[in-house]
Amino acid sequence: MSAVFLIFDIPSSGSGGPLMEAILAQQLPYVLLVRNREASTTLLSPSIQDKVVMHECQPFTTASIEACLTMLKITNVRGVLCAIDVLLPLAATQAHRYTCPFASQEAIHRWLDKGLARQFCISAHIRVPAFACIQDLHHTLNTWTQFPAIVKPRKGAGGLGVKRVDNRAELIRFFEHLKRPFHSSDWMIEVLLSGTILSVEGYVLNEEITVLGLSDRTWGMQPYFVEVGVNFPVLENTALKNKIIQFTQQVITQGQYHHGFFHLELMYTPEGIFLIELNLRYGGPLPMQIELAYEVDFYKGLLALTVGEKPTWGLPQKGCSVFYFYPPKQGVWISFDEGLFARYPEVVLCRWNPNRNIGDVLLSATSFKDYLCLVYVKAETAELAHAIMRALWSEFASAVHIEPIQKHRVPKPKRKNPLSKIVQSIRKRLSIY
Amino acid sequence: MIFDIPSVGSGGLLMEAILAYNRPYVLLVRNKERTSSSWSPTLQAQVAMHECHPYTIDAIELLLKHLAIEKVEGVVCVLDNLMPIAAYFAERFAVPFASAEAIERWVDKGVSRQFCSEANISVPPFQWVDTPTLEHLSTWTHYPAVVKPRRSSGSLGVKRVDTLADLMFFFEHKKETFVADEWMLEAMLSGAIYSVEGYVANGDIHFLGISDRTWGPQPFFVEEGLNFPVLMGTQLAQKLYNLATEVVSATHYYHGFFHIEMMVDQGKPYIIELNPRCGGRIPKMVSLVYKQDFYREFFVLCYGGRPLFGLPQCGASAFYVFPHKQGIWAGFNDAILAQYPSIKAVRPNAHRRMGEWLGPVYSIRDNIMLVYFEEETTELAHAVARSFMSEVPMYLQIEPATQQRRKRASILHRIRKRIQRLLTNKKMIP
Repeated sequence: MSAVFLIFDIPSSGSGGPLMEAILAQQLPYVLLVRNREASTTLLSPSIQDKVVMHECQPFTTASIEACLTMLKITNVRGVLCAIDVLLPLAATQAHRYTCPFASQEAIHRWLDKGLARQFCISAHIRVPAFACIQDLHHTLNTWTQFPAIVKPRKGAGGLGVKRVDNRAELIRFFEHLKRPFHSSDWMIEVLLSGTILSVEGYVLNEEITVLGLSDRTWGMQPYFVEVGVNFPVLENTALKNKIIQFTQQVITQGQYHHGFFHLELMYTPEGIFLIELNLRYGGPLPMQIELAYEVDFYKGLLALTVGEKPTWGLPQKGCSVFYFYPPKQGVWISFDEGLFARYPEVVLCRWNPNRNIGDVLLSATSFKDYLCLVYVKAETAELAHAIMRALWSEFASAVHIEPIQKHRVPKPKRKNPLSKIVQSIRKRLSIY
Repeated sequence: MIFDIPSVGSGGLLMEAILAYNRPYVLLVRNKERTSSSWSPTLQAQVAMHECHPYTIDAIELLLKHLAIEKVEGVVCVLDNLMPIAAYFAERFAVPFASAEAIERWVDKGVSRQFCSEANISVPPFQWVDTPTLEHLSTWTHYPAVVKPRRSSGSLGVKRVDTLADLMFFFEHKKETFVADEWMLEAMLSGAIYSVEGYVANGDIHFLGISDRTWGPQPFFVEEGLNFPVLMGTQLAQKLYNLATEVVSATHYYHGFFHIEMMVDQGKPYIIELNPRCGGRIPKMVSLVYKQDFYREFFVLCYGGRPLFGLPQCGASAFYVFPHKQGIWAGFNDAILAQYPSIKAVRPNAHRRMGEWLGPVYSIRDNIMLVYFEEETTELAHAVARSFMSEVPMYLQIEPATQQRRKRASILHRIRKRIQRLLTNKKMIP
């Protein structure tokens, strides 16, 4: 059998579908290993759902993956693709087995866990916000004194579970009311810095670092850290960009990340630049933004990098802004006037959240997974694209029809007055007399 | 000679500059108390004002006679509706100023659109509204549309309407504060809003830059923030400057600052508003960005000279802090301001008081405070401002006013009113 691309599941953030579309368009042989066939299918557009061949591995372990590959008689792998953090160690094992270019297990282990990553940064003299990994919850609750702070899962993504706490009482309440199964060692706490979050997008090939550009973030209202929008590329031709590139080179070189895309998040504050996290993959909506800004085929470049070749992308030609459209108020989503996007020719793409359906009850947004749709705007510069996006966002509230939940509640049957039976029996007895 | 000053924002700054430069001045105001309400106590004590009732040419003439003023070196006016009076006196004292004819074309949005469409300058489709009859409204077909007063500012009274029913409902329920026949209707374009800032010195046009806008959710058009300068070196910037040059030349606007608002729909700019003055937040933004005192150059233009602005040195962003929910404003923790060194100025809204009931936001006047940011570039200043805005709700304490509290408040209010009525009406007292 000819060499295949080995793909580790489909990311739910939207880039998985286009990757499969690119693979199908180029008629490349592939093996797609998924954790849940049904869940992965919903992430693909209807036009390719029947065309994509998936192999479900349960449990998703090295043993079951190897059994699956043996069954499929796969002996030659051309490249390994993985854009899901938690699956990176499994992907690295297979990449090593088939001698494909990929990040080392050591680098993945170092950067995947935010707690370990911060510990490494301190030893490597890379600035990170003051933090504590929660080993003993009681001890942390008693000793942590720096507020406002952020509590976050050490291996989380998409703002899920991340919350601001302003005092000890809030911190205690957070852990008392934690929803999902909780292990104290899964969490960490860090000082909340006041500044701007920026990301660096790029790739490493044969230890050579290429920065594609910087992106900025817009957050919703705290205490949650819900990503509302991303602009790319920003701060072009500024002194700050050069400083950030130097910082990125220091982090990646010292962190011994040798191959693949990276998405480095940092906090720019008056005290300097602090590393927030380094992801050994591309950022969620960034593939499409890079494609629009550079006017290139991102997935073609990605596949080239996977096999150890350099993508030929040149320089950014345009700017791109992405906004996650969240429900403007709580209630039941009734309809949406799609004419809104048609009136803005700068809107190049709109991706609806497959987990959101009309008629859903919409509550407050606590994670970026709560969005309704993701809209991409392309313009001459990122600044201009962002201005158009803000204009579009101001119109959104008028285009979406959300009704109050009360209107849709089925009225409960009226309970009979418990005294009525007694009253009736007394009446009956009285009537006898 | 100064023709009143805005009660919010730039008015205080203008007077501070006049005092700082020791310029002799005559400040003619409509209402002494209201004009100085947002000033610092020291400024209030220093500024001399002359109140004119009614604010007409005759009344001002009498006052000038009384003050024995025979020579005027320059005329200052930054309020749209007083521009015609200022133009009259500028002509009388032979001081450089825009002509009354040009002012009329700029101040009334209806007249300016009419003029622009006749001069083939791109404006959105529009219609004047004759409110007593409302007959011809059914012929209007461009929806969504924006209904707005012909002479107003600060987005007051501006609203989006999506259907004829919405439009009729608007006029049936609008507040009586607006004069009945001074409304207009225009097609709502889809795109971003920009303003071209600049000045004309004896016919020579100079641009200071372009600013953009962030609006709150429609149907109201509440300005949440602005950035300056934007679109540096882009093709779109050149299009906006070309349109601004066209409109300034066509209207014969000869001397003074201007603030021209444009909407860019599908890459094409349309004139939305012409203001024969500098924009509300622009003096402070220009001072920050050009690292120059805006008012020093402002007075040079008022005296008929040519201001000298260099090149932008950095970028600025200004954001209005609005209440993020309804309730009673119980406190604001200033610590957040110290955490952002990019913050260069904070202007609390003098009309907003702690403990006040904060309702829905309809206009720019509902803000709690205005915060200015300065950074290496405008893009970065705006990003810092957005970070700040995401944190503000944690520092702004708004307490819910429950139904019961509101009800109790209304009963007490009613009793208080009844007692007041009883006390004022002598017949009721035995």
